[in-house]
Amino acid sequence: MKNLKRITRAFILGAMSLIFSCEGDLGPVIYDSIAPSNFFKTREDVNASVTAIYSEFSWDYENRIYNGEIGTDEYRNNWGGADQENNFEWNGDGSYSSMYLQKVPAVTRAGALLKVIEGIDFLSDAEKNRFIGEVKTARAIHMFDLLNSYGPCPVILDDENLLNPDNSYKPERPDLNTPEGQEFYAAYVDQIETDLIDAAQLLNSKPPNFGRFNKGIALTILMKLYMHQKEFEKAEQISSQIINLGIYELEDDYSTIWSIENEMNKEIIWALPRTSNTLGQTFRSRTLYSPYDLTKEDKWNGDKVRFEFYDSFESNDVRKDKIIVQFTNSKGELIDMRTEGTDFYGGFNLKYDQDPDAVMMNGIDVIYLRYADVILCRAEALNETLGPNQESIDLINQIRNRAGLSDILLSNFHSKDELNEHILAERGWEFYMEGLRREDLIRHNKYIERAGERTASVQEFHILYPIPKIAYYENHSIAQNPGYDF
Amino acid sequence: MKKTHYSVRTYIIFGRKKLLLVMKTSLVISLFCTLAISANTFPQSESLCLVAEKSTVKDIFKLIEAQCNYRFFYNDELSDINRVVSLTMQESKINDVLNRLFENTEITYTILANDLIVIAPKRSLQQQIITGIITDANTGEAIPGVNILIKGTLQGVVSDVNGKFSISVDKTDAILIFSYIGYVTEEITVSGKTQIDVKLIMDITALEEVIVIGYGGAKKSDLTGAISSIKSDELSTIASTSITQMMQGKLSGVMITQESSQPGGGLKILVRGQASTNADNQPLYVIDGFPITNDQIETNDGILGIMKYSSGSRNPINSINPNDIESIEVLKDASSTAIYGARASNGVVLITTKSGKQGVNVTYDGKYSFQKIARYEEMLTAEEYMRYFNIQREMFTRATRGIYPFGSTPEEDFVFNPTFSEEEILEAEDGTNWFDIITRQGMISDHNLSVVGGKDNTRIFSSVNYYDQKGVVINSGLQRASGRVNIDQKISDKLNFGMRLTGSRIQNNNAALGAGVWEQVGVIGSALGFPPIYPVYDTLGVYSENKYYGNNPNPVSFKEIKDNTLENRLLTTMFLEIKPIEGLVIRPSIGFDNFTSDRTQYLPNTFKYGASVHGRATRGYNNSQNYLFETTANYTKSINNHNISALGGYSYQKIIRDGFSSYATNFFSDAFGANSLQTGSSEPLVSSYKNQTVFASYFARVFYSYNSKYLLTLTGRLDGSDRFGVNNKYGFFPAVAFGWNIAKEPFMSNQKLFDMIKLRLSVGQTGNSNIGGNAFAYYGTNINGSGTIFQFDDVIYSGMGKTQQENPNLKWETTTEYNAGLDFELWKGRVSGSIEVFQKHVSDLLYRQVLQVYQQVNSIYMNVGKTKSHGYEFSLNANILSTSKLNWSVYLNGSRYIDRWVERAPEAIANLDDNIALNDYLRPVYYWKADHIFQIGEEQPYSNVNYLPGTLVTKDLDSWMINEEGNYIYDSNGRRIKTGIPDGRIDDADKTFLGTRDPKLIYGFGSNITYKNFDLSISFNGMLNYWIEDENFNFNVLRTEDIFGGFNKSKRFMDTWTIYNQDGKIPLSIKNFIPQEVGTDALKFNKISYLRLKNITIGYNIPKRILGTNLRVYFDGSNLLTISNLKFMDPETILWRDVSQYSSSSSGLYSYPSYRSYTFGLTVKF
Repeated sequence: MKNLKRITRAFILGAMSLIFSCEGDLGPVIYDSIAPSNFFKTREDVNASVTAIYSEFSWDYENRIYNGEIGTDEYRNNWGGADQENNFEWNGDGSYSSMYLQKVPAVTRAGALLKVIEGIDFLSDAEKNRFIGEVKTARAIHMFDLLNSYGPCPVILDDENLLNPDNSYKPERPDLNTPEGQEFYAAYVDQIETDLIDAAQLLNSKPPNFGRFNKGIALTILMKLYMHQKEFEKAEQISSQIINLGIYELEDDYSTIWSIENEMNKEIIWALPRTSNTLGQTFRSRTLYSPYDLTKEDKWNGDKVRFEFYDSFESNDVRKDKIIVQFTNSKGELIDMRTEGTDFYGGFNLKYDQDPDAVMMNGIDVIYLRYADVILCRAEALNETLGPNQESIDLINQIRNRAGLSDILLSNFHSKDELNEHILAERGWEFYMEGLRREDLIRHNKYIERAGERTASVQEFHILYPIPKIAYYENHSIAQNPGYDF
Repeated sequence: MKKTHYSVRTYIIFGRKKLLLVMKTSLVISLFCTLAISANTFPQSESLCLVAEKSTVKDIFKLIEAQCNYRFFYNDELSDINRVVSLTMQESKINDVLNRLFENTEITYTILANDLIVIAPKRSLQQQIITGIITDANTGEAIPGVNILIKGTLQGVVSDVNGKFSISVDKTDAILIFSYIGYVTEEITVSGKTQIDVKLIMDITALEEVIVIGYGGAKKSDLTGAISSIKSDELSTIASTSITQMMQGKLSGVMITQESSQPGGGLKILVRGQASTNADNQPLYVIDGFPITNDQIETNDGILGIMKYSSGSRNPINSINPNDIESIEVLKDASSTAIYGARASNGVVLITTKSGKQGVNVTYDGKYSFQKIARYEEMLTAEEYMRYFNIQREMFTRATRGIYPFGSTPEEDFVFNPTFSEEEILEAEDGTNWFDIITRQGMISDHNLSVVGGKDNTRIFSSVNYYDQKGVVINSGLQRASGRVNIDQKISDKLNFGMRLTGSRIQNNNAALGAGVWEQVGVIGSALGFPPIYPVYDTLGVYSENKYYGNNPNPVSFKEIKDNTLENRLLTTMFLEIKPIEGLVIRPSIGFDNFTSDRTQYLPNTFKYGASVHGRATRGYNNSQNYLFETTANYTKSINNHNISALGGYSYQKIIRDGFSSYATNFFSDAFGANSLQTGSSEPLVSSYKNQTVFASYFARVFYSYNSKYLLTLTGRLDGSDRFGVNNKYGFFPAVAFGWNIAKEPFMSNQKLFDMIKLRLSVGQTGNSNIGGNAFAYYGTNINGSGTIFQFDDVIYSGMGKTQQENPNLKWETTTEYNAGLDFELWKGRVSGSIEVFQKHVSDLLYRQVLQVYQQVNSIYMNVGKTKSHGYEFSLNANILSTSKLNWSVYLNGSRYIDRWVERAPEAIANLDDNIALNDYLRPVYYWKADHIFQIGEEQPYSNVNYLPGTLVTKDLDSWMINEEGNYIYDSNGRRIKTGIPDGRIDDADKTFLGTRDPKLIYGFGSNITYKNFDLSISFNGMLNYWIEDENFNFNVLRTEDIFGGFNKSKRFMDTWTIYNQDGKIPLSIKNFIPQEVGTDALKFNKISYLRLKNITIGYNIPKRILGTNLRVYFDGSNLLTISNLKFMDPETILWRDVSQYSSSSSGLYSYPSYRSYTFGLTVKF
């Protein structure tokens, strides 16, 4: 009995002591994330944060291609809803809205990180400048992409809202047709310009790793911004700065620009490094269709090149060989995309080569900006400022010769418009399916006109996509783009 | 006394002094004893020499004890014992000595088996020995431990393990009383019989039945809360992996639906509806006092979607052997559940496993079962496929070119070249029935052995179980091995120790399941969609490919995938019961639950996807560790008619979950499977996670009853958790309940109808803490669902970004629940039942507030919004016949719940479809109503839609209110207002309320009949009138142009409208040509009901006299019949799951086929 009492007592005591010892303060223990109080303590934290900023570009190529191509004379896609969108049956939450929803917060993230990096004292100046230059480039690209699609957007740039996010804050966006709207537009463009000029100064032309932003990328985006704003003199100046960097040249062979053996070639200004399967890209799967049974790749039957566009090539243009409208399948049957069946509504764009290691996630780097663009932009900028001129013709002929075509002659172009028309066509043949066509057509005032030849639904205001419903509904201080009534 | 062991079978009362000793011995012994030896037949051979001068009889006894082995039992107070005698005996038998000694006295003797001699007055020992066997009138099983008492005396015995007893009576008119807890006490007059076999009848009123409530038990008559209870013997014997399946249809207020029919498939249990909109609606499961987490441990597609193909849904409670269950109680109202506080608002399921019993009892139960698919969509044959392929392609081409009946282009220009020629079609015949090939007859074998024992202060229940199921779909299966040991050890009068320990190992064979479509399609979807025109293997002997849709892998090739999940679980609790003073029990306990799952998957080169990546090996490991420490103190005291029972306790629980998964591709050989990831030449992708949840809680409950007439229960729990925001670490959950046993009132004493009628009222608060780790700010590698990795050069780096905003105020959802219940028993327990009505108000709903687009993180979790549930439940049991040969009982139960919105977040309202009412049902279905199929030549019915012939026209029911400028008029919530008047247009205004996804009634009924040794039980269950969105219809019947896109269609597809079948009932749905936004797919919404014959069991108990052991054989048929207006799929597995505020996901598309199951089994008791 004595023992029992002892046991009992010990147990009760033990139980009581556990009561008071187990609890703690019930603070959460986090294992697989980091609490804010433990972050931004080392260089590696900053480096990882900058990497996260880059990761925003990992998948945006799909939005860029889509937003850059729908409604144009070269592109079709038959996935659910896409055909309607190609026909300008737009509402406020089509596929073209994804870019807004991705990039507006991305601008906030970049801005917030800039504020943090600026206040950090454990980084060397050189490293700090490089990080700032990279993040500013990222922000500028996002803002430029938004400008291209939706016009200037209400993004968060001021210190107060970056440092102390408050969900009740509703940024304003005036009606673009008002003077305030014009002002808003100008300030938005200024911000991109400032970021890019800063970045071009802060960044080296040779980055520490392939895939990081550098001076050439910042300058090329700046040039494209000036082109977009039709500030052709400035565009021309920047183009010569890029050319004078002396690190870019045209590849000799158009067909190998996108090949796996020729990654990181000299024509590439900005590319997204890719690895098959883990961080790959899906250009080929997006376009391929089952009857093309020559490879094991996934075939999603999406992005297609319009037959009319295919037919616009000069017959000996090597660039059109990347488009497949006829092929012999593995059983030896000849398949013609134009006649085969109802679901064959265009040619495959096979600019990217097959990656033998990949079925869906192709490991070839995604090329975002090519030197050929700088050359043709310069030709266009010179034409816009000077009218038809020999330098423009020479620049265009560099591109043509590589494509196996004969020179064009200055004497054949009697006006700025005539040469512009050729430049627009040449840009189509050179850059088809690279997500540049919509921007080019709009700059040349041909987007609505060309679309009008195919569909009656297109109207003038379609040069801008609508602000997505979700953003407009949550914040009525955002004026919808002109012409849209939702 | 050591020599008395194993000998005394009857005891006789001599007097007070020795009574205690004798009784104690005999009680213990008789329980163990299996020998039946009569004292009178014992041979006495030993001879004695005895010389005694003027000794007392007592002294002579001592002399004899000194000489031989005999020992005497007598009462000191017997006058004859102290009588002085002289006696000389030579070489005499003991009988002779004793005969001489007691000549002409009132004393006699009896020599018992082990040389024990009992001395007693003659009247005591002139006895008749009565033997017999006591069995359960229902089951025929022997009942050990029955008290047998001679009426009017204190003499009695206890039946042994085999139910046998033997008792001496001295009067022929003696009456024996047979009593045993839970059975009706019998009184039988001996009247000269020497063999009395008794069949005890279960006390169906079972008034004193103890119901397990949280942290203790309570007499059923004292309950004040709403609790559904089911005992093991009510659980049917169907061959099934899980307990939950057996509960289906048997508990009112509990909706159990099978999510998947796959082996070990998940079941959803909902107690009184699903009033939470974003937090989980699962009840809390408590096994032997251990609150477990019942989430499927295996992340379905692995972390970061690393696993290709879903393994389907699983029910984690499968790891508990159903045969081990003693009882299941479902706590429904807040007064019962408040003791579990912040985790209890969805109800609590208490599972109690069996304990050891006195004696040794070995039971073997074996089952063999086979399964046949009950119903599934039938697909077109090759001939039909080709024919409809041609027709649909023709329709599409006509539509594209605007030819009759779709346009005005002259038909002369139209030349259509069919893909398949008439000869090809005629030659094709049936082709390949893919579904038949990937399915098979299922098989289950199930062996269960339990050994239950107890001796002295120890009780042990132990069992082993092996369960092996081959699923009806190729590659699917499950093998479970489990074991259990439950020990109860009495250490002293004041200290008990107990342990519940179970371990199980489940090997799941995973078929590629899930509702994936297109290139993500699993084995079932692939088999339905793969055109029947292809053979399994092409001419080269490799799996044929689908020429029209190459991304669909050959259905049979899925069998090449090796995909298994090994689950291991160890669940144990240990406790002490300390009783320091009368009425007080202190119970410290510790528990540990470790649950792991390990999935290995290999997609070989013989499988399409595997070939494209040269083999893909995946391994995913998940681990959950759950620690529990608890101490409770319970004090019970009765003073006169006042009973009070007070409980207080503390509980601390920590749950840690972590996992790891990885995959690699590019294997030069398939030989490694998933066992050598490093062999894959690709860089492996790896991922891991870890998180923790802690609960620290104090709780108390006071139960008071006056004369068992007025009952009062007060409950409270203070719950703290690290899940809650810093400003809300603790929540308090109180409840009060009142019970009134009306039948005990004097004014009820004159009526005969009610044995019992009890009114219960309760109100209380509980919480739902399933809010995840959403209260805190994090930096991590996944922002808004996107990974942050990026590649520089050819190296992939991880990025870090803000992934979650802090909400310091985030807390549990609070439920306030009112309950009124009425329990009754009529006609001496012949009919019993209960009715409950309840109302629940849920506030502080977990709400994912979407932040403004510009914010770094797209959402934050908050407590916004309120819902309300109300409903009723009833259950009725009737013993229609109850005789010794024939017993017939029936049961019926039903319940309904209605969940409605009370308050929604303003931004949720802004995003809501303008049709939807703000105080709407939680799961409403709004859609256009189908009207008719647009025919050729018909006038366009609406101004804004241009229907093509064959399209489904929906009804114009309403319109939006518009002002003079033609703009919509909005109400104060910014929502458009309807006029109620059709406007000749089809738009969103014409969407109408069709119904809710929740059933109007959930019901179950059944019957049990026993006749002699036969028994028969039947159970039905079903649900009435619930809406579903039939994705199977959408994919297998609608989407008509898919047929020439390389997808086979259901036989129902043949009734599609075409120009050749203008009476067709299935609308054409040629995408791009037919307006999508006006409900042309409205037929996919259906209101369904079903009644299912859940199972029939027929059993026969072979009498023991035939085989020498208790043997029961039985046959069971499960899911034999389903009556439903949904003809092609199972009405249960098609139910939508995870219906949240905005979206419905995961339909029953391509669900695992449900099957009929036929089981043969036998139970042997040794």
